[in-house]
Amino acid sequence: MNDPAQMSANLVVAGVGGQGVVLAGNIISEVTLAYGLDVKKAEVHGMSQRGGSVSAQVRFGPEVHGVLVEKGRLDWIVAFEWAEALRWLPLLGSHGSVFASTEQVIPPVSLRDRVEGKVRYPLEFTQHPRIRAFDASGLARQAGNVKTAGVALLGALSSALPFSVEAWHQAIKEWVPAKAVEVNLRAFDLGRQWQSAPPPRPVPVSELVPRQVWLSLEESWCKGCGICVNVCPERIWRLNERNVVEVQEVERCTGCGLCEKLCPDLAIDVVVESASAAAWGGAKLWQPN
Amino acid sequence: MNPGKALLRPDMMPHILCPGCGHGIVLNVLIRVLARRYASLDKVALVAGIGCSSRIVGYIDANTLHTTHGRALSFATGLKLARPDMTVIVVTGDGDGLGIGGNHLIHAARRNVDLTCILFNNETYGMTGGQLAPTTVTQAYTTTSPYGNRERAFDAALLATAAGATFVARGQAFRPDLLDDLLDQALDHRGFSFVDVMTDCTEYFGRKNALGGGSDLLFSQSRSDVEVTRDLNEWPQLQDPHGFAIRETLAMGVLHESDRPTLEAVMGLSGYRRGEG
Ligand code: SF4
Ligand code: SF4
Ligand code: SF4
Repeated sequence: MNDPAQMSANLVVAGVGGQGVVLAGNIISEVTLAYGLDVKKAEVHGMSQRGGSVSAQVRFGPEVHGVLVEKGRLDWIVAFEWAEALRWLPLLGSHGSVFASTEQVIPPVSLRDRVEGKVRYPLEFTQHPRIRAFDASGLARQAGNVKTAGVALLGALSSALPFSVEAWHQAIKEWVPAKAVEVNLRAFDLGRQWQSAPPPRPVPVSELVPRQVWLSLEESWCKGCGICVNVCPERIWRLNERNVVEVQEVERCTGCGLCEKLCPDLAIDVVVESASAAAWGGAKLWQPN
Repeated sequence: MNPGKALLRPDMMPHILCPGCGHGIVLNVLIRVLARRYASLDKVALVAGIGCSSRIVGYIDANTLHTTHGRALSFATGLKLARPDMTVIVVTGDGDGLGIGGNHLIHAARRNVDLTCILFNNETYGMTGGQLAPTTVTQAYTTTSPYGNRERAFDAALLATAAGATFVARGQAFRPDLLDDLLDQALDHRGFSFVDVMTDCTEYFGRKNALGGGSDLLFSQSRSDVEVTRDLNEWPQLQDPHGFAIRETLAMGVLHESDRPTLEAVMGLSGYRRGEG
């Protein structure tokens, strides 16, 4: 892998709308093109306006055929956002590794509870041996503009790839707006210098125990407005022929509490502990997990 | 689980609000905050005027007072001066609090009575049939502006700030946790605290402006600015596909906070303390 002109790898840049994921994919592609490599890139950015996931898969090598990375074949994940890195872990190969920003972008419809619902994953995540998480936004601020966090991550990634700093600088110059070149180059260099991961946060054992979640619906209060149907990230609720909601695939419920907090008719309860669920007198009770 | 549900009057439920009405979400948040803050609602009074928003006090098992149109703040001021030991929360709507009762709002703010006023702002008069309200944004359709509103809307938060409110915040139904936090801070505040809550009238405002019902209308709030800011000078407008500024971008969060003696303190009322219920 030390000969850059023979190197081949599969990467994904993951983040949320507005973080510059597509731009970062372009910069990586530009660098590999400068070495005469073949490169294929595929982006997904459907829901980006709402802070949704954006990703760019980049495959490069002497010859590349398909654009999409197969499961277990991903060499690098460059994640601009904490939770976005997790989505790609199943694709990561046995020797692959991750550069992730510790930045947490909470989507507008998400609530504090949703973060708590996910808390197990980010904590495991810092302990994952192949994940190098660091405060890219901090470096970017140090460089002079917090928006350069993505380029700082590219800097960190670059230390693991055989391409020259000049090639990276050149690619950055080509892709970022002229007035932002200086600050982006500074962010890149800071990212490249970044070496050691911050000490992982200790994980309280209790937080690793899977949470018990129950859902309860007071049918007689539901007016069938459909808010819960559309707001649930796991699509648990659906309206039935009586225009009242019911659950489907309830085991996917993460206990995020969105449906409960946004139901105007107070019809839904998300009960997160077994003890309170046992004492619960709700009209309908499902135990998803 | 929302512990606030224990505070509801079960015989009154389900409430009368239309399907998907944003007021229900605010009620959802309000009872959660009340349940967290007060072990008992014996020393908490909820005073409301007239309108869909004002209806919600009837569902909460506290000391509730359903008063005349626009006059909730006047009743509340009297109540607070007579019983300074009580926590008095005013629930009003934009039509009630800014239209019919606009004058009472500015004077309550001026006096700095230790009240918390929650203004449910759905940009229309819901209960009376979806008429134009002083908060209806320019160009929006209502039953009384069939060709689009030609007037400029009040900015309730700016108005309250200018009138002398010592705590002014804005939240929205779409972000219940932000709202939860703002209501908490407003109740912590000593003096006149005002929370402008952007909510939705699905039945009239949503329908007349083709913004969709339930979740569509709720999601249209996501276009509002989330930034928690104190800068009141920036009020950019968002345009809908037809070029109408149906949903203005409004600053959210705590917009103003100052410290000034309350009317109760100035009057030296005995028994006055910060009402903790
Ligand atoms: S949000 Fe509430 S009222 Fe609306 S459909 Fe869901 S359960 Fe029914
Ligand atoms: S059903 Fe579960 S996953 Fe869906 S919004 Fe409610 S708590 Fe969240
Ligand atoms: S008329 Fe409008 S404000 Fe009143 S309950 Fe119906 S949707 Fe809500």
